[in-house]
Amino acid sequence: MKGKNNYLSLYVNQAGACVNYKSNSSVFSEIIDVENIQGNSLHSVFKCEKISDLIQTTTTINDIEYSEHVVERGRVHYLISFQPVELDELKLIITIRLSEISKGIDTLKNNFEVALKHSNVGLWVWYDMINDHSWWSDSFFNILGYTKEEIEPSMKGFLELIHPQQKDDFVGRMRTFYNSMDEYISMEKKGVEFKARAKNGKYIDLLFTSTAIKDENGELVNFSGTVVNIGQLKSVEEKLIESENKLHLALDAANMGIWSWDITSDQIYWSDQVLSIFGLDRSGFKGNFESYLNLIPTEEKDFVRNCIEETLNTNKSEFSFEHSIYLPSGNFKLVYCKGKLFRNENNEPERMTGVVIDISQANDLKVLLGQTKGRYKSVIESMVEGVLILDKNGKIIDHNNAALLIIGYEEYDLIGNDLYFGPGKAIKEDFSLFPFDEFPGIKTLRTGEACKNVTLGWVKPDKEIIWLSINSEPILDAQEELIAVVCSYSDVTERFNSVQALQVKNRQLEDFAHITSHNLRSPISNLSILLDYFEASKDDDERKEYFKNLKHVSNNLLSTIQVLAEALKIQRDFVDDEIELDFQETVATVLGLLSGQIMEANIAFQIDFSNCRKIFYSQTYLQSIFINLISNAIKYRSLERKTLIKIDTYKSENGKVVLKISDNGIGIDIQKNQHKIFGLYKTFHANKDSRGVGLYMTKRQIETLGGAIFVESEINVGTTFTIIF
Amino acid sequence: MKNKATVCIIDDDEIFQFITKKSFERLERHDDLLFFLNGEDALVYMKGAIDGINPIPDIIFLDINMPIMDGWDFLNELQKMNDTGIKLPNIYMVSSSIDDKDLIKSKTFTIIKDYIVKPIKDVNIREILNGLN
Repeated sequence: MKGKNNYLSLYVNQAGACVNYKSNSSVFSEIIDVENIQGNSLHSVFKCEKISDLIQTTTTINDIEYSEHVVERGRVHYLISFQPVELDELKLIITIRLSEISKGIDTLKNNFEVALKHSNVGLWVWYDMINDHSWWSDSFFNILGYTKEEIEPSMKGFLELIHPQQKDDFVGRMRTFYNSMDEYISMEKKGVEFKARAKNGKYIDLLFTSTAIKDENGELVNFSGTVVNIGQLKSVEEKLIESENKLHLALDAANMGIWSWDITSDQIYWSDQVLSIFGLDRSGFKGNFESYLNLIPTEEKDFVRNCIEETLNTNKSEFSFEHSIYLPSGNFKLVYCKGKLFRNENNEPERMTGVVIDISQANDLKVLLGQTKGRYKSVIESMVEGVLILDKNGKIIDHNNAALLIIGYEEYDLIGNDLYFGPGKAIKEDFSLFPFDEFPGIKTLRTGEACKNVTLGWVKPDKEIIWLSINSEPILDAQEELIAVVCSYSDVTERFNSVQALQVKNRQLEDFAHITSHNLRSPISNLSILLDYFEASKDDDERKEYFKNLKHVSNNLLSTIQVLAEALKIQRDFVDDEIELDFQETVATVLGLLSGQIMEANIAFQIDFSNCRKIFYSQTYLQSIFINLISNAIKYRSLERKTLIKIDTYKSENGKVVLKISDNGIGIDIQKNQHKIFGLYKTFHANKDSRGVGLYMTKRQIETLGGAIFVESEINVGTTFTIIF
Repeated sequence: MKNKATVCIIDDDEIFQFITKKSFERLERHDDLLFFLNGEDALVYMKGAIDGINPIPDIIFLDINMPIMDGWDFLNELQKMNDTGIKLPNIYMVSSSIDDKDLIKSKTFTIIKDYIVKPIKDVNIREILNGLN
């Protein structure tokens, strides 16, 4: 039905029969049976009753005047004109044209189709319900993926494409629709959703709408409507449903429910989880603010009401609090509520949304640890020891103030941390590393066994060491399952340090006793034999020899006793003369004392005290240390090269003063003599060449004042003594 | 009693060395006395003895405390050195101390014949010499 000037002209004679016709289109075959025109009475050749009635009416008038009529037939409008002719053979010419309105509708339809072509909306018109012919827009074909040649638009054909599981339902709806003649099909005027098979075999989601088109008498003319491809919408919807489901699962797992309060209408929406937390069903719960308050025990009601009101009336936008609620069973449950307030443009409270969390189980642990929080809290606060309570995962869930004070970590937050809650290092009594999984608390967590009196040293970032004596005990529930661990510890630094000092003293005394027994007994036993033999000897020369040796021994004895006495003196007098000393000055004095040896041996010195000039120490000791070590370097110098003695000081990372004295002498075999270098030998000779004494004395002096001395050496390269004061 | 023994005296105390020499003289013996001031020097000699260069001593008097190499180290080294498994001489550990620790330690060495505490007089030496053969 295209828009050219289609016409059909019928030539009617005086008798009222059609003698000839002329047409430029076959479109009129819809209304007229052109084959049978000639010779038949007019109205009989018209298929359309309306038109044939019109023709009949008009042509029976004797004096026909020119007239035009519009006849509607469904969507098509025919313009019929009656033209009287003054001819012998012809009485009348009837011309039938397609009305401009029809043409207009066609044009509109075309334009519309173009617009629709690429949209997701397809149009359909079921214009011939008897023979089942439909018209589908181009976009309709596009949605299904067919061309016009591939499929015949009909209702039946359309039904074939519907998903088998939905077909019956769809047909049922159509039937209802036709029977009821409602203007819209389906529930809530929204259309019917179904899946249809596209040409590629895939099912697409469509929304189907239908409208009944009636004529002026209310007679049904045809149905038309739309199909909309809602594929994308469907997938979004599916995703939404999925996330909604996930949310439900998550909320369920968290024992958490959502609520939303429309303040103006005082309507509260509660999710199913909230109701299950409250132990109610939807029908039993009114769902407004008052009914919520009624679930709360009297003594807590005001508190809750005040919290909410405060939020509403002040500028607050959030609130959170814990309270108990009555369960229908008569029991209580502890819940935690948290909400956010939304205000409108006038800053008035409009809506509040939030969550309710069932925290009854989390509370059990605290309940198990003491009947009321207050009671156990006050007990552990009163203790001098530090107390930590760890949960099953080793996290600190509670502690007293002393726990922080003892370690000096007042500003640290312990709750939620594990035992390494501040910077530092844990060491054992022998100063080796204390592994984390050997910590008493951790061990108890793992094994369930208590640990008693474990000594642990905590080295803080400033290198200060705090010694702790730690106990840890498991806490079991009624089923003997471990639910927490209590660690308590006290500061034993003073005790530890004095024990250490005592141990040093002890070793020194043992040393001393050992040395005494060797070093005194030796000369004394020699003395006794020599006297015996001297007495028994008759030979003068022999006696002279004996006497010489006797003198030797007696000198030996004297010097031994002197050395030992000095060693004793060190023990007694060590605190007396500690003052601030300048290294440069002390060395200068010592070099002066040894000047003779130095010049004789032609020794060069390289001295650098720039990194540490002073020390707070015993003057006698410091001098003695320098004298011993420098004379040692001189004594054991190499004769193959010029002797160079280097002396320098610096501060270690712990802030201790370190002194290094190195020479390029003959060196010592460290492998062999490691333990003996600082030992004491029983042969003390009065002359300076006795090696044993000096280093032994030096070591004792240094250790008495809490320091240490080390030696490194290589044969024929040199020796370095390092002293940490 | 053997007529002439080869005796090693390993001790850093020269007075003791003198006294020991005198003790042997008072016994009117003409033994070969070899004096060493420390374990290392003695070890050098023993190496020679094991290799057959020097005569193997019959008795060794070994002091504990000596510089450079003490008595214990000497014994360890001696045992290690004796790979040919020759019969070692009687070794007497001598000490001026009655320290239990030393006594107990000496028991761990099978090559020590006995532990003697100084002073060692001629009469003690005679007994030891009788113990030979």
